[in-house]
Amino acid sequence: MSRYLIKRFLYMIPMLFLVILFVYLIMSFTPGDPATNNLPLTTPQQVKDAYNERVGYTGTVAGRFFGYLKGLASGNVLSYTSGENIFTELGKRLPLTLRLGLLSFSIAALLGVGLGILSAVKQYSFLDSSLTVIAVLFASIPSFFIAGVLQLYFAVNRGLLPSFGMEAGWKSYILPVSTLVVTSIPVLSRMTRSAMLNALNQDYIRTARAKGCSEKRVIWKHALKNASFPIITLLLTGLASIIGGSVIIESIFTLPGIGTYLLTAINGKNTPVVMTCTLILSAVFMIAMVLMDVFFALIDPKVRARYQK
Amino acid sequence: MSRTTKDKKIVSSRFAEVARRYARNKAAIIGLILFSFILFAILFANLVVPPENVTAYDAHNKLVKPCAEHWFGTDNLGRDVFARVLYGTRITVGIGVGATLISLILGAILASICALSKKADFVIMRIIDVGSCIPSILLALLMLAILGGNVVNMIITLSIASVFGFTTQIRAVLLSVVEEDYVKAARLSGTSGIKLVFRHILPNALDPILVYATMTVSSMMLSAAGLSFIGMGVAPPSPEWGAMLFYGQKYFKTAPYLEIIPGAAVALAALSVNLIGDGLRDALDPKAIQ
Repeated sequence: MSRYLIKRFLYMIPMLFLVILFVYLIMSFTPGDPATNNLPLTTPQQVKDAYNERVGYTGTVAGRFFGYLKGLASGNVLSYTSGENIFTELGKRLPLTLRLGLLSFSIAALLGVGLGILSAVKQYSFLDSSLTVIAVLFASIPSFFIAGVLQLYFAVNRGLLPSFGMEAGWKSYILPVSTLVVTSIPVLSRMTRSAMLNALNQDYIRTARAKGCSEKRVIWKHALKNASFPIITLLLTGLASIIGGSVIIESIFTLPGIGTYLLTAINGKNTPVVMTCTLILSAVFMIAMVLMDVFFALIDPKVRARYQK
Repeated sequence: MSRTTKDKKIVSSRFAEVARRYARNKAAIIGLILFSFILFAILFANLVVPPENVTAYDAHNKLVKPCAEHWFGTDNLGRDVFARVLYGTRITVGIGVGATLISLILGAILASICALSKKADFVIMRIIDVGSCIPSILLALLMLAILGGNVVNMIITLSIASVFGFTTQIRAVLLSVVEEDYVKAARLSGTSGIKLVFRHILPNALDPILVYATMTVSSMMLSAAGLSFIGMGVAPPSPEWGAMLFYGQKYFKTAPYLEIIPGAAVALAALSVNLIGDGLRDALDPKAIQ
């Protein structure tokens, strides 16, 4: 297993290289240099050249790419727009995105999986059918619309909560977190429900019941353990897409996190920022996929056997 | 009985069977009714409202509340919201359906190549490995920033951003079909290449692909509206629902309908497609647990 893990982590390096090369090539199609894009039109050429020199925009397209890699290795990549070190800027913004993402992820995971299990155990009950209807409805409503309605009701009409920004402390989290939770529960609960139903209909459940297992044990041990593959897949993909998913939610609520940072960077042709953000996003995604394999090996002896050669 | 008529009979009885099961599902029927309204709006919008109304400014009738003359009110420039939402159907639903079709076709071609040749499968899957590590929203944002936001670019962008997922899904289905005995038999009797794919592999893999594609239409529409909402999608004068919602948001204190109406339009369109997808899944595969 450990040998397999080392192999997977080594495999990530060329993959990440290809990903940022790809993003770099796309970004290099954008016209204009950082000085022209960010300084006033009347700036003298000398000042512009000095600015480009300072943020590392010199030489050929290929040269700049390797310059970026070198900067990455030494932890010193400068933003085209602010001229600051990107890692310092990221350090200021990352905590907010992670807090927001992890908080809403854990609430959504608990509620989504819980409701899914409840639905499956009480299949065809009133609770199950109403949950199904609500899930289909909410899966169709775009997150920005839910956010808008929440802002309208709680911020504009009632004045209870701030409708944007982070100035009001914990109150500022309520609307963004609720939006994220409400939009991610339907997918989770539906997936959990079908995985649980699938497991509950298997022969080993009948065996477990026949040998006198308590219903609690049947549901939580026998069924849930076997239903956990798709649920864990979905949860880990959700966890991996916290940063990517922050783009829309942060721009709705104008929050100073990674999402808005990335969006402004893309609009402002700020190549190093876009590349660094992509690097982080893709690395998080790949690590989540490795974790998934580890988890499957832990719970399933059949999978584990595959690695023990 | 000749072979072709027999084939036809089998096909039509299967179709009748599926249609019967579909018709029993109330939610699926609601989805179909909703979608027929959408289809009507797409095809006959110009019979209901003249196309000039979409961009016709009226300085005297700004931010009029919904009334008999303006069913959905007017926006900050005095444009009729009903006309805009009606014509917006073409854009948002068009992008959703168009992008799904393109990535469906591309995905089916790539997946068929994967199913036919092990070597090509290895190469294509490595490319997809890299591609699917880039979050699709990031890819879409990047491409829209380079190409600029309009309907055609939105379709291109969304289909490329989702082609990786599509190929993986279709490939998984095709690979299971390729292992079936009838495909092996066809191979042994000398069928190969394109004929094998079109006659034996694709027809038997159609059901799950169809369901997946239907579900994708709704997520594409939500993405299209979302991208326009954050200002990266279809540019202002055209009545894309997400963009309308974004510009309406500024007036949500005085004119909340500017935000609620386009939002409800997106939600209803996505809901109708989701319901149809759910209904199709249950009708095509009654044994599967919903």
